[in-house]
Amino acid sequence: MALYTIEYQSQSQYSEEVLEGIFEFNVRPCSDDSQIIIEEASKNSFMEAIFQFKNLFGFQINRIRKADKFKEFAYTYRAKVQKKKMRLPSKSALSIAEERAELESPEFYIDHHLFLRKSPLTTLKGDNASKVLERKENTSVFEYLMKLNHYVHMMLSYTKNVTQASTTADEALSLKKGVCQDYAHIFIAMARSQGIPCRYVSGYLNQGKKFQGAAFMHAWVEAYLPGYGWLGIDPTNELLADDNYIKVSHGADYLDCSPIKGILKSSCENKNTYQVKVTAQ
Amino acid sequence: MAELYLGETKNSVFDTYKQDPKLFDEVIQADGKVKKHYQKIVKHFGKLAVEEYQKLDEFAKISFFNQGVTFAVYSDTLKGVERIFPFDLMPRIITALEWEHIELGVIQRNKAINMFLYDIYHEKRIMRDGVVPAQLVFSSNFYNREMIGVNPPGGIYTHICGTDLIRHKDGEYYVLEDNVRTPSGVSYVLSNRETMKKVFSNLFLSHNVQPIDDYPQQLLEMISSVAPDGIDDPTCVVMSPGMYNSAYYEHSFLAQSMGIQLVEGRDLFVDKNFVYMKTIRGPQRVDVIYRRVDDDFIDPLVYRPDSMLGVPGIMGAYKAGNVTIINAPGTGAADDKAVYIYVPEIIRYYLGEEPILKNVKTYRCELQEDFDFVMSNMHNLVVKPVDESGGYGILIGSKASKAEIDKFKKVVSGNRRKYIAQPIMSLSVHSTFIESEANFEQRHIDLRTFSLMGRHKQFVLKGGLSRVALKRGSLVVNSSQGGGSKDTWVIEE
Repeated sequence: MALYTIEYQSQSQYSEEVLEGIFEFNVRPCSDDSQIIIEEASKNSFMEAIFQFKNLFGFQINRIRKADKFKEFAYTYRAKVQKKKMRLPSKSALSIAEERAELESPEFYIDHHLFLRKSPLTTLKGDNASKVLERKENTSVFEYLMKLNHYVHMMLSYTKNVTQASTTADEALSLKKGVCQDYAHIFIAMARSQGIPCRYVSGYLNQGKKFQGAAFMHAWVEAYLPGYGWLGIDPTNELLADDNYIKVSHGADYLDCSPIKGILKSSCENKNTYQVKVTAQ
Repeated sequence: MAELYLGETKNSVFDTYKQDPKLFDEVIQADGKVKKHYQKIVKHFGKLAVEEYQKLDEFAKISFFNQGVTFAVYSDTLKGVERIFPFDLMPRIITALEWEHIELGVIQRNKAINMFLYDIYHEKRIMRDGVVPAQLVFSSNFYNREMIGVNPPGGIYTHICGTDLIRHKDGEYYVLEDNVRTPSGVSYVLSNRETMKKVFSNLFLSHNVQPIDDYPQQLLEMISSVAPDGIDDPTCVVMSPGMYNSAYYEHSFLAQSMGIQLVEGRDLFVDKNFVYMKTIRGPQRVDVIYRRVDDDFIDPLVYRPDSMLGVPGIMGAYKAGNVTIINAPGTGAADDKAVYIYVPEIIRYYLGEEPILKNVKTYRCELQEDFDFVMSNMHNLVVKPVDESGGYGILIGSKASKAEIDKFKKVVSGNRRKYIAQPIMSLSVHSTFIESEANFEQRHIDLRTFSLMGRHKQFVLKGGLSRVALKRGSLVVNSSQGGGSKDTWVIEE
């Protein structure tokens, strides 16, 4: 059992007055089999009431609306999360034939289509499409996922400030550089192309360990392992997501999980910064 | 009364009317006899000398101008230039008996499509049963995942349908498109009638023409009927993308004739999952939004973040059941021209009935066999993108040069899911006054019907928009591509 204190802070400054604005935050750790929120609090500099709702994938979004002018905005979210020790698999739960039967059934596609379809962020084109790691007949899904984890990990060198939120898997692969979300998008593109449902995950990393990307919100993936379920995989660090990973939400790609979204009535310059603090107790 | 034959109207606008025996003429039989339901009208028109007719034509144009009936074409170099919709004074007449067949067919289709939409966003039975390929539905650009599990009030998605029909040379009606997103054109139907009544008031005395002027009232009743549960006296609005939209005239016309507010996205806001309209007396809650803004643009928090036309948060309010959006988001999945192919199967699956109206044979370029056929027969086919409307992006093989066909083949090969092909249907022709010839000639026409689906109520407007391709031999009737229109009469004989 691990206990984490998580703090997410964001600040925005605008060069001119914004007339009206609406912000959505997707930064709250979710509750699932392995983690639970013990206490939480959020604050915003507008002192507006926070409206909470669940998105398409069932994750809670915090929305703040400001109906009159402002030049800056700050938001803080704090939570204490209890994380269970997870028992991670070391091989596939089913035989290769059973896995195939499940993955290839029409029902399976219908039930998992959201995580099998290509999105603009997770589509590899031309030369990059030929770099997909193919799954061989005699390779189990688990083995394949581990190989893919290594393969994607080696494809990029972790480099900040060369990619942005809108960078596609295809662009990152051509650059051979990127950050956690680029690793995740490339992993997703390849896994899906092999018929394995795969989803984008955003969350926090235990900052006490020497993980790549722990200073900010992190991104990894969950791939569907027949007979087991969704398995968290982190190609940035070439690890499986264990109790050092605190999940916030998942979706088809980054766009479903962006920590902050804002729609503003303005056309001015803005400066956004954010910090993440994760401490294990 | 003696029956009239072509050629018996001397010194009139019908003098040089030529009949192509290969075409189905709505007005005149192959033997030259004027069809029974057109007898009175041809007799009346046959008495008109060209100059007299031209005067009436002028008069009609002025009437449209005064009504302000205009539209904009996107390909114009000047953005937002308004044009008068070309109008032909000779009405298209459909007998009540024939209309009944159309009406039953349209309602049957809409019912089945509505059930299909519920299904693809819930249990997905039709795909599990292998009737419609799941891959096809999920790959549609219009499949709207935000609608998964959402229950629109009354279970209605396709509140307003604009089913497009054509009549082939075999005399049968075929459905060309279902138009279940935001079909336009109904304002022209109403203003065409308005103009006809001014120009030919006496013809309405001699014909028992079914009225259409209650459409705005029917529309308002329908949209009020699907208000969120517990709202007795809903506030309804028409939401337009704004004055640069090609159908802005219609948006304002509908709002005005229903007596409700015309708004744009910036006039609305969402607070705590309810939608409000900004008014001089403060915010007013909105319950029903008849939006003429595409799915992609209605909510920048959910769809295109750069959209200036939408309302941030509106999808959340909709999903919580606090506002009704008309038509429901995601209806386009049934409008995809590759999904259209399966509508007859969709009707059999949900209703257990045989389709009343026929589908046009359609080839799905995504399928190898169909693709091969299309590649070697493109000169005999119409090729269309699955997700466009208004006649944009289509190729009519018989009218295209070899170079154009070769270019199109490349385009289709590059994105096979996006294209379907159909045989070139010989649309029926109708006598139409051609200004440059100062006489009537045959021109191809189609028919857009307008139907409404509310709680416990189906309504089909008795008439519709008969669109006419004004260029000789042209099969493209869309207003955006140089088409005109006719008043459409359903008559009790």
